[in-house]
Amino acid sequence: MQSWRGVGAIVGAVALAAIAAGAGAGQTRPQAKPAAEAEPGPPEKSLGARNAPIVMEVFSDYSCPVCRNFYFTAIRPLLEDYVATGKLLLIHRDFPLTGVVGHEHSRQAALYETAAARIGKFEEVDAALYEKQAQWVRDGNVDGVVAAVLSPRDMKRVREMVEGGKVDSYVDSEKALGTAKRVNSTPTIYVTAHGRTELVPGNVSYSLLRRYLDEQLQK
Amino acid sequence: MTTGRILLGVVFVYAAYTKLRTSFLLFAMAIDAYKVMPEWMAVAAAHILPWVELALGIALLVGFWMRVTATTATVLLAVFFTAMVHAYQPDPKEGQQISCGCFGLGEPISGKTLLRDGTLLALSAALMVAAYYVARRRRAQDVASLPAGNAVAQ
Repeated sequence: MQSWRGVGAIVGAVALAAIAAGAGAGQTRPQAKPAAEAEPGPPEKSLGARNAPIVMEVFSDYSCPVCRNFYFTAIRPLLEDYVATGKLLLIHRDFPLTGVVGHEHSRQAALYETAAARIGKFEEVDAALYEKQAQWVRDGNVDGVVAAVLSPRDMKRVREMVEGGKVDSYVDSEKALGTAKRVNSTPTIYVTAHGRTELVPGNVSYSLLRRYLDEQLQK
Repeated sequence: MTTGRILLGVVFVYAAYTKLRTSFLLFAMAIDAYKVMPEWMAVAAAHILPWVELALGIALLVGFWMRVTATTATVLLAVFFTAMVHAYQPDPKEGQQISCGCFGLGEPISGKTLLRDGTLLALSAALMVAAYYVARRRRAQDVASLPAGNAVAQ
């Protein structure tokens, strides 16, 4: 009994030392390069300064109600509070879920949004797809929702890219990237700061997310 | 009992380590995602829980105050397990795939995590019962070993 207690004490002391060392190493971490250099994102679907100290990568599906909620409760204020002030680079990645009821038009939405991003209209179409989500998820009319926010000339260019299959491989590569990063639900959020990438819960409240980002900025 | 408490102790210490090495806010977000308490409580729990886990882990490894330690560990694991069962979604695709938070983020609640944590709960409960049994036996032995007069006085 006494010898087992001794073993337990030694294991406990080693564990405590390891934790203390880990915490100490975190505090003496050398200055990391700007996070944006570590995670280059597609320029058309990236919002913010490329040399921002924090990079947030969001894998989402336009048919997903939680993604929609995250867009309105977190992304929108983030754009104002962090992206516009150069503190955060926000990268949108499409991860259209397949074989899920209610997501039959997800890929179509991703194709239209990617095509719109190619002509510099990402934000407008991104907002429109989330605002009118209930409508196009039900009737499949993604084209109509996008057309309502683009000029006829821009819409013609978007349609040509979508119907010509010009953006399919891009959406596929984003999906493959998400799969490689073990994304299996949406939204999945990765935050990179000080050379370290952390997974953030998808249904996070903005106030907690803000506190986390502020903490990263103060390091 | 010794093997069980060392195993459980290592698990608790490891769980504490995975949480303490990153920002406590990540753990707070994981707790908040369960939507079973207000945000301020999730933040407070994120501050306190890893240290409680660490203390429990070390106490288990050393075999210190086994009845109290095993009981506390069992209650804590029961609370975690109940929350996980409540949040479990068999086929989540949209955002409700809540992270277990057991050993950091990135591990969704699944049948596998429920089985694992359920097993740990069962182990902890068995340890608790064993600790009380051993203590009771020791007390009975102590009483039996006293001179006859003292035993009557007890």
